[in-house]
Amino acid sequence: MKHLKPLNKKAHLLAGSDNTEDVLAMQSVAGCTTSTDPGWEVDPFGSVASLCQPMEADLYGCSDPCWWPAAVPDTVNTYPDWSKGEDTRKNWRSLQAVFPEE
Amino acid sequence: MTLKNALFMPFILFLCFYLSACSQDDKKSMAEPNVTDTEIQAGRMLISDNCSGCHMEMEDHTFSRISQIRKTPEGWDMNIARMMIFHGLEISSEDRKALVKFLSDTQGLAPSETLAHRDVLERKHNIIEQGTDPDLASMCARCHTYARVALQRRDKTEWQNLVHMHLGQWASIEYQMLSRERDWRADALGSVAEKLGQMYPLKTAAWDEWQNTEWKDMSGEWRIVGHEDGRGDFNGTMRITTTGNDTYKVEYDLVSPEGTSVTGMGKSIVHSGYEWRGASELQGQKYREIWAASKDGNSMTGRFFQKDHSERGGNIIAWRKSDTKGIMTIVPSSLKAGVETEITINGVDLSGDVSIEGAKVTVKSATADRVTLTATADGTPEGQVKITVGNDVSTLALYTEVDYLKVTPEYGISRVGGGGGVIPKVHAQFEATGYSVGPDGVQGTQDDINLGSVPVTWSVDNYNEAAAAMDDAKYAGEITSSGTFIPAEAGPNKMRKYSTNNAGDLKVIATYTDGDRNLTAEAHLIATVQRWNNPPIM
Amino acid sequence: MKIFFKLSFLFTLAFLALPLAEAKEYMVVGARPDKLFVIDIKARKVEKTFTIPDSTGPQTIVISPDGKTAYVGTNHLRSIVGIDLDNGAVTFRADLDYKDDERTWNYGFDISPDGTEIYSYDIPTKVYLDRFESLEPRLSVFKTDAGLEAKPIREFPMPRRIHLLITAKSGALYAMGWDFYKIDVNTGKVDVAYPLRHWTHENLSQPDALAFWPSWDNNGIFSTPISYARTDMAEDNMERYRTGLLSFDLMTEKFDLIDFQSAPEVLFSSVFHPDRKTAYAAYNTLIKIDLKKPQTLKRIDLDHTYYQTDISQDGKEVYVGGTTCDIAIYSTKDLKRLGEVMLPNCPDMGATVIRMIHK
Repeated sequence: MKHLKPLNKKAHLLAGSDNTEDVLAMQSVAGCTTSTDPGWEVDPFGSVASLCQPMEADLYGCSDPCWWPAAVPDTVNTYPDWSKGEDTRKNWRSLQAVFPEE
Repeated sequence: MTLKNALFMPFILFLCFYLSACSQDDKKSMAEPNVTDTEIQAGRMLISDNCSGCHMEMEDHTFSRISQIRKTPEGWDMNIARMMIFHGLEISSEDRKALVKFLSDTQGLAPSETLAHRDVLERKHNIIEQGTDPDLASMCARCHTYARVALQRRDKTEWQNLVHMHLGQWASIEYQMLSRERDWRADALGSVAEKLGQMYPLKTAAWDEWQNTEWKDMSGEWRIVGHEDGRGDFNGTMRITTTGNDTYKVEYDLVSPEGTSVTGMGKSIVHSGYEWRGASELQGQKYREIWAASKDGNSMTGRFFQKDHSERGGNIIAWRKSDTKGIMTIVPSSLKAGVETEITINGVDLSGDVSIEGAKVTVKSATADRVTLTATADGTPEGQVKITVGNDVSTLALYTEVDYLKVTPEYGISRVGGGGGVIPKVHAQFEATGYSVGPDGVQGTQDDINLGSVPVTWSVDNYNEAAAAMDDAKYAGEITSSGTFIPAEAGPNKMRKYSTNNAGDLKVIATYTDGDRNLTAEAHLIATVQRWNNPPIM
Repeated sequence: MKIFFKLSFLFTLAFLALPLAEAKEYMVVGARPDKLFVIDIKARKVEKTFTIPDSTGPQTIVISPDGKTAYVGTNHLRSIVGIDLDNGAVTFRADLDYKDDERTWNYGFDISPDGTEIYSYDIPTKVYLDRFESLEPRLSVFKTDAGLEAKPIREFPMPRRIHLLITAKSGALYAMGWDFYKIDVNTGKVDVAYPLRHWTHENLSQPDALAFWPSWDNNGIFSTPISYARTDMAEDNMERYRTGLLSFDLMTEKFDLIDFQSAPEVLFSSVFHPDRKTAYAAYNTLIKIDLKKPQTLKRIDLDHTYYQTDISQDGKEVYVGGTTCDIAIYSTKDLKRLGEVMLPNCPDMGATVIRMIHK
């Protein structure tokens, strides 16, 4: 049941295991979130099928309560004007990258 | 303060003032031997002009919340960006760059302090951070890289201030998975801040020592070799000319992996005495460089990447020609028994006889930079053998057969992009390395021989049944003949269940063919969604 | 005689039907950036659209017990605004960062059963020129008749990490966080009413549940999916990883936990049928749960992700909402699709909640 790997790890954590090797083994590519509730890049099952579908449905449900601020700009304090548009399914194209290069 | 000191101090202050006021040749600062007094005065003025509205200047010329921190150039730049975003700081592009330079030079990190985290600093894609403290990883690296933390130096109080900032800016931090199970705030302000203050303190011997080491000028003639992921090895020369204040002009003269001549120009700046940050253009492609110079200033290592696709690039090694000698790379790095193969030896100041243990060698051309030869091995010995040019020695792998393959990275991420949106696709580059099982005939043992990149054909497939049910392989993207996975376009796709994105859970398969023998190896690829927050240190 | 009987029978029927006819069922939802919709859900029609002043994405919505006012959490989680559901007039506003140099995050509020007080759970941060100082969370109590510049009449320190407030019918305030707490709104005393982090269920790991969605309007009971592990089972046994439903009866103030399946799917929210024999939970799938067995009876794929699950008062229709701009409607009997309501101009609901009212 390899596809249930990260959920195992989560439950493992919850079960109070002190096996830090297992916690470390919850590997993810540098910069991706390991908080898989339900995860931004990768879901609790180590895949993408249990991410929000489509991501655009979830986008403002992430930005407004600040759920993945390292990936999705939070509109509470940091980027209040990031998503002026209402309908993500139409306006996701106008959403800008937020790091100011200049 | 003793009476003696009290009397002595004004004298010292007077002397400093006198020296700085009268000096014609801009004396190096006493506290910062590599930074001049004029630069220090200018730097303080910059901070005062741009930051003192909020950051209090103390009598000793330190500034609250600034002077108590050390960071990399990228760390300082992100700090300034944060002030712009959080607090509406308006700062000119020139001042921002000058502040990064000043702060990196006076409050930077020593080479040894960045060593463990250069992959992230170099924006290397699809790496899994190693050697991270598990406690800190679950506290910090569940949102951003561990490196973002480990590339800063603060004392406990300043680490606590950083925790307070996180709680004030992102109160959800206590609610997300891997924090809601614990008393995040108490842990972060308590044991974690304590540990960070011990592991990554403001004052270190490493930084003191580096500040007292002479930072070298990088001007000169350099030999450069490198590997562009998915493409191959290149080599050439670069002429570095100073343009003042640790900035340089660079002229490249390279031989591409395909053997063609490539020339181009670049500009660079060196921060903290060794952090080379370059921008160059070669054949119409814009690149960025993040390299580190060695302590003696005679070599550099690092990564270059495409300006608009930081995931695409490769690694380089550069040697200053006037102060180095030896073999840098052997291309290819292995030789198959019985097959006449052209081999290039790259180096500096090469001369003398060329030989490969266990192989017949015919030199085709030889310069001080490069020797080209053809070699044929007879099959004994196998494994790493000596290759020599005069007195310079390196190794080459001799083998009879590729026994197995490995695909790297074993686990990778790509991201959808484009599709009318502003976020570009993030590709994933895979490479296949051939291995010989070595003399013991057993795979996965110490004597296995890395044969370097081998030519393979690439394909992708659904990772598992769930992926097959969603037809992921059909929608998520395509892999090129050079192992570059190009993800599909961003946005909901009405053709898919849930109108979902062109995300997918895939296996990447490399197939190596030798006569009627096929070897395959696989990697796992999560082709996922885009992100909008892409700072230099993820 | 016969005619009289018939007439009186009809009269009785009409009399019985009168309150039902008067108390029509509506759904109230918010949408980005500043909309509040009142939906005639059985007619599948948006009946009223109000604009919330100074609003970003509305999130928490609390309805006054008389059904006349919707209190909406908005303004970047910093304000509660009362909107008259007849005419859209703004009748109440409390800015939760009412102390000098602070910013707050609201993590839930609710109203007293008599409609006179609002309880708000907020996390303040003191903002200095060059630093932040994270402060202890607090419960602020506002009078609902305080107008547009409401200031708290009482204030109490609270445990951290609370994410949902629920007022029981008795007026007792409950809060879900590390544990389920009972809070005395007059003294600020906090007791653990149902331990979660500290539960002592044999062979069960610490549970994980993050509930934001009120689904008790038509059934009198709060419920949420909750996950935990059976520590007596092997780690490679997928049955080890469990999903349950935690519930809290707003009348009896009793908690209950049922375990209905292993953890093959992500579920965000749940709602009990008013008859309390079945429940429904959603995220990318919608499932029907037999509460007596307990077990999952049926599972369907939804059109996209939805956050919240809710139900009609007659128990015939289950609603899923949140995320984008449609409320999808399914039969509680067989999860057959019955219809949908599209919000005008398709604004995203994002993290807003659904409330069911009768007026």
